[in-house]
Amino acid sequence: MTRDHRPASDFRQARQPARRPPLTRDQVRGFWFLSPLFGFIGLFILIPVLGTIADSLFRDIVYLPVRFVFLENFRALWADPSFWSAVRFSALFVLVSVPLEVLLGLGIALVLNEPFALRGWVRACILIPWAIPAAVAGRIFQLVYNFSYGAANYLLDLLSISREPLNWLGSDLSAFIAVVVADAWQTTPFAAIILLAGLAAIPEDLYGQAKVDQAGMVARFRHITLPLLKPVLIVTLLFRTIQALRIFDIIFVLTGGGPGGATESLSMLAYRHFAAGDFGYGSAASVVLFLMAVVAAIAYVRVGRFQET
Amino acid sequence: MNICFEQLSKQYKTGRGVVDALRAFDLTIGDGQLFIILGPSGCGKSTLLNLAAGLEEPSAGTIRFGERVVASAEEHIFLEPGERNVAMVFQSYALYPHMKVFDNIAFPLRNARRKAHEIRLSVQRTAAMLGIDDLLARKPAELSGGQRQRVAIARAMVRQPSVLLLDEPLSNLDAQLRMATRAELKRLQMEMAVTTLYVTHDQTEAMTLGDQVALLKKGRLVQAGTPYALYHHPATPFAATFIGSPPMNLIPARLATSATEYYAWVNDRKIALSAELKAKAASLPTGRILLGIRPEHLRFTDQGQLEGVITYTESLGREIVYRVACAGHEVLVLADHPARETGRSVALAFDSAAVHLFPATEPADDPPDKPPLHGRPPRHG
Amino acid sequence: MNERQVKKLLVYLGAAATLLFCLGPFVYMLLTGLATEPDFLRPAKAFIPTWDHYHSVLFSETVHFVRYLINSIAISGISAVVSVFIAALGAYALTRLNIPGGRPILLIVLGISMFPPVSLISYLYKLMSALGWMNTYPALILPYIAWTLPLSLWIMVSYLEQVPQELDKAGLVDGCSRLKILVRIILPVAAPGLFATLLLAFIYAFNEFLIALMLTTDQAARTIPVGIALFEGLHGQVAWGEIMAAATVTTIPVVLLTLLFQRRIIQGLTRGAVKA
Repeated sequence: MTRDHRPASDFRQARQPARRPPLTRDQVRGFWFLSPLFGFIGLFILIPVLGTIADSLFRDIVYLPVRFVFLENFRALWADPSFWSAVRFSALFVLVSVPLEVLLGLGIALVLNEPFALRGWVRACILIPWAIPAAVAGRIFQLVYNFSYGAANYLLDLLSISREPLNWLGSDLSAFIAVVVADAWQTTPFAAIILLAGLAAIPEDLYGQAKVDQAGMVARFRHITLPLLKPVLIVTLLFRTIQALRIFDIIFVLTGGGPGGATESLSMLAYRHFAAGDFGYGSAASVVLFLMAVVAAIAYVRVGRFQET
Repeated sequence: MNICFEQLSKQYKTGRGVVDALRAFDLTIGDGQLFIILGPSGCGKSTLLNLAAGLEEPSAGTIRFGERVVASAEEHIFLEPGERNVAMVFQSYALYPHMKVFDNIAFPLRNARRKAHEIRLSVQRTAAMLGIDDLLARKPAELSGGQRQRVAIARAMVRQPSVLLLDEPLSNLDAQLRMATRAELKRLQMEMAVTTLYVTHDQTEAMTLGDQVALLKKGRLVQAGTPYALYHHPATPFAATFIGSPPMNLIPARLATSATEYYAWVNDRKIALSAELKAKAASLPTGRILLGIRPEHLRFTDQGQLEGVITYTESLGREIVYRVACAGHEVLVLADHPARETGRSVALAFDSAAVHLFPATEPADDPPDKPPLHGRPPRHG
Repeated sequence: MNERQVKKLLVYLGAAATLLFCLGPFVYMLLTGLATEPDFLRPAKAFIPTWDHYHSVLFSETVHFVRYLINSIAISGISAVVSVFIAALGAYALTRLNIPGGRPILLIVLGISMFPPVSLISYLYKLMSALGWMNTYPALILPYIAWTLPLSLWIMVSYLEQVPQELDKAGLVDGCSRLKILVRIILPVAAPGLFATLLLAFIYAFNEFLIALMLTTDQAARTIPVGIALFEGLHGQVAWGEIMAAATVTTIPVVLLTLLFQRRIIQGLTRGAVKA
């Protein structure tokens, strides 16, 4: 009958006789319930991030003594052409792939929002690219872009675009396109699913009313769908931006950052230095990426909260 | 077991500031009574029930079950619901949807670690008492509203609680079933002789069911007493209009005295007050007051204390509600057939014994109330 | 043609294009895994089916795909179960127990989920090296639990919000502790949501790459995405047939789960993201 909190309340009574406890019993329990969550996130996400930030201020290379160098790593980054190449790649990649994916996703969502035979099957099928590990997707596209027998060159031939096989992963531009297409294949479904949920939330009555008001298909899209979808669209854009900024898996497998570092993202750059044992320098690069992600994350959370009110 | 609320207060912090759900509330509920907590929505009646159950902690004050203090903000005592031997029936019934009816009813007994055969016996006995013994193998989703309600009551009764708490238990039933269940609840409660707190916003339910009724408004106790006392001796205009349907007429008047008698003036009509009212009248300041007369105590005559014109009629079937424009005020009259058509001039008579007197303003610190939410159907025209 | 017909045509064309886009590479993977040679698209070549690649992926001693797959399933499974339970506890607190600052906690957790994983891995590498856990299951399970928690928490919150609070009250009055209410009443009632969360957390952990790449060195703990990414073949030339057979073996279970429970997955995904 009597449970463990009864002595606890007596104890509190003895300790501070006059004041009301600041939290109710339920709230105290609530923090206990949340403590494993805080514990895991703290130990395996927050502390590592703080550790990485601290590490970026040290010269920390395996087999060499660790030395505090303050901003020396960042100064070296600033002077490193491969860093600027990675920044340029990440920026270009976000600018090209995110709008492309969101547009494609919007198209798919618009189609899937209409009733048609087998809609359920199509909707299930678009989840397939999403469910496949990015590393595996990278492998599939590596084969797609194979110079001698890949599907990409086969398609070029089939559609009579080019008789000559293209060395997709051999030039800067085609490698960039290759990465963008592979990533779009992997992540467009996610954008489509989020946007589909947004579309489904638009009341059907509005379209009925617009039809009564003689608005055509295009007018309905412009004056009802787009404005009402805007919040979801912005959230999707931001969400995809954050994911695109940290792209790693597909590039690691597909191009390894090549040719000549042309498709090396900031994550790849940092990883390359980690793998080479230069933890301080790699940390500095990931701190830069982290800061970019934080800015985007704050934007995301802001927009999220704005939507609520 | 009697229940005692002493100076009970509950505050909620919300986004817009602190809300007083209950303020310095005092009430004692006698052993075995069926006590109705009545009031409009937001009056604090559900808060009171939650405090009694131990679902919330009081901000101030004490709750006693018999001799035992179950919650006291000042003494830092708080017993969990499970330690109070209370049972509760919720408006939505709150049956566990993933459990069969048997397991729903057995759940509190299992938590109390009773023996399996004992549980089986208790569940079957309680189910038989409520006529649901053939439903024990079903899931709540397979039951009708009335059946679910019985399961909820069975789950509350099965452990023989010392206090039974009912939160608007009938409001999800249709009108016919509600009448039947009302009678049955009353019978069960008397059989089990368990002290019962029954929360409702429906004054008819309160009047027909309760041994005692406490009327709440904005976290304060307005009046407590038998249904008879609340109906015949309402303490405030709010009590007068909240209880009874259609609600009591409150007619603005002036109180005047002569050497030997008290009068109320409604415009230029002088109304003599009965002997019983003189004491009450003496306690009021002369000047503006409210004259309370129930619609059923007014009757049409050829010559009466009030005169007016019928503006609207509404048939209740056996009786008719009239609205009469009377001395610049609208008066409701409840009368039998034959119907009188609108537009007719009528005179109204009443016994001076049926008159209630109220001060012109509500005693609470709040501005005068809007018409009660319940008891009067909305009218058009 | 009137507007309705135009629309219908557009919808069917769009659906066909969508299917082609989404399934094309997937089917290409399936075919290559079954083809004797990966060059079956070349003009002079033909598609000659064979089970050889599957045979060597599943039974060869020298490639460790089966081991990688077992590692992946065990690591992701354990991570998902623990993560969802911890998330359920947290979601219960946030939806029922009036935690001060509950909303900010949710938003902060959401923000944390957006940290790039590359900013964790060097420290995790040092931590696991110091503990001597490199290339073991715990080295991946512990970060994966943390890594999937934000997602699990958001989805669990959105599901628990929908369970009526009166059930908690009934449970309290019936003599349950809060933990027992969660385990015996709320979670069974929210079972579909629990399952969706479990599935999503599993897929997220299963697909994780960078942490596994950094913290594993061989088949003792290496997961299947890393195994497939790093597989170079035995005879100099890239063994596309084997890689695609392994990729198929890896993705078929995930894809089947996804197809079977697509409704729940879509629901979970959109709740996690749109509700921000």
